[in-house]
Amino acid sequence: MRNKAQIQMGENVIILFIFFILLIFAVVFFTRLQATKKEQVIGADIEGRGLQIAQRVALLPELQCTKDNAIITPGCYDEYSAFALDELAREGENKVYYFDLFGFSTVSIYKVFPPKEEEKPLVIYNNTKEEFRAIIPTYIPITLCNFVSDVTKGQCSFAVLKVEVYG
Amino acid sequence: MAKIAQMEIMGLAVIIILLALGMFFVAQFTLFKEKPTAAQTFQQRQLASNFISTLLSSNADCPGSSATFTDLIEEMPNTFTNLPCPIPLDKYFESKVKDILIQTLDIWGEGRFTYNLTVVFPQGVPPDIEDIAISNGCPPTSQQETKIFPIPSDFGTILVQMKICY
Repeated sequence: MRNKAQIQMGENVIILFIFFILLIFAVVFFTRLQATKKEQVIGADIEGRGLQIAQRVALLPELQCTKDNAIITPGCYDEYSAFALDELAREGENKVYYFDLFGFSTVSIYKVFPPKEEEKPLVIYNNTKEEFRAIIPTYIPITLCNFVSDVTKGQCSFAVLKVEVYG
Repeated sequence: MAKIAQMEIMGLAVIIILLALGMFFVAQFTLFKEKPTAAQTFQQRQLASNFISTLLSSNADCPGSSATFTDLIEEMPNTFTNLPCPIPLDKYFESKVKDILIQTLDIWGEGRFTYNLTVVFPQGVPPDIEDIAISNGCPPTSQQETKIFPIPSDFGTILVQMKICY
């Protein structure tokens, strides 16, 4: 009789043990699920901001190729205006104005074609966050024209607008 | 009798374990799979158009000339060309576009983008002119975004088509 009771107690203990193991598995699983979902939401938010900034840069009148104050081609950017914007964005009041537009990000343009040796990317805005968890880059192909080398048509390169947002 | 009941219970336990494992794998592949975000989808939709318009208005790097890739495509069907570009023009175009793709779409988004770029010539071009196709494998089942740019030429309209798959 006593032996039977012991066996039944043992069975109960084993059942409880298995139940708690299953409970732990379930908790771990749902915690991981929540963490993944949260990461995805944060990633989507940063990506959205990157794209928003890229669209703002793409429509900046300071950068567009112009002739007689009229825009020539959409998606065409003036190389010398981009040089100027880098300096402009660092000066006093302008710094605040561009921070409102671009926040904590780095916006740069790098030429892809025609290839040139040792050409550094053209950084048009740089405001790095001191502590960040992730950098998500967004790329947009653009035409970068140099109207100084060829006034009539311009020497246009295949370039890429890279926006890095700090999350 | 007791042994048969024990065996049945063991069988049921095995079935439950297998079902649990199956459900775990299904959950792993459905719940943890990253879906493209709205921003990603927007970027992918714009990419084909941005890429091809940028390419066509860019300098083709022909020595001493500011000819663009559009000029290059226009001249391809002609037997004689005034462009100072290395000939044959179609091979030159292909190699330069491949160089650009290697530095852009091939490395962006950790191989997320596959593409298919084609230049289709109209009927009536000289027989040695063949359509150009540059691809890194576009799965037929994937979602696709296609942009077509027509370029007028002496022989008719040349179609430049960029297909981005994701």
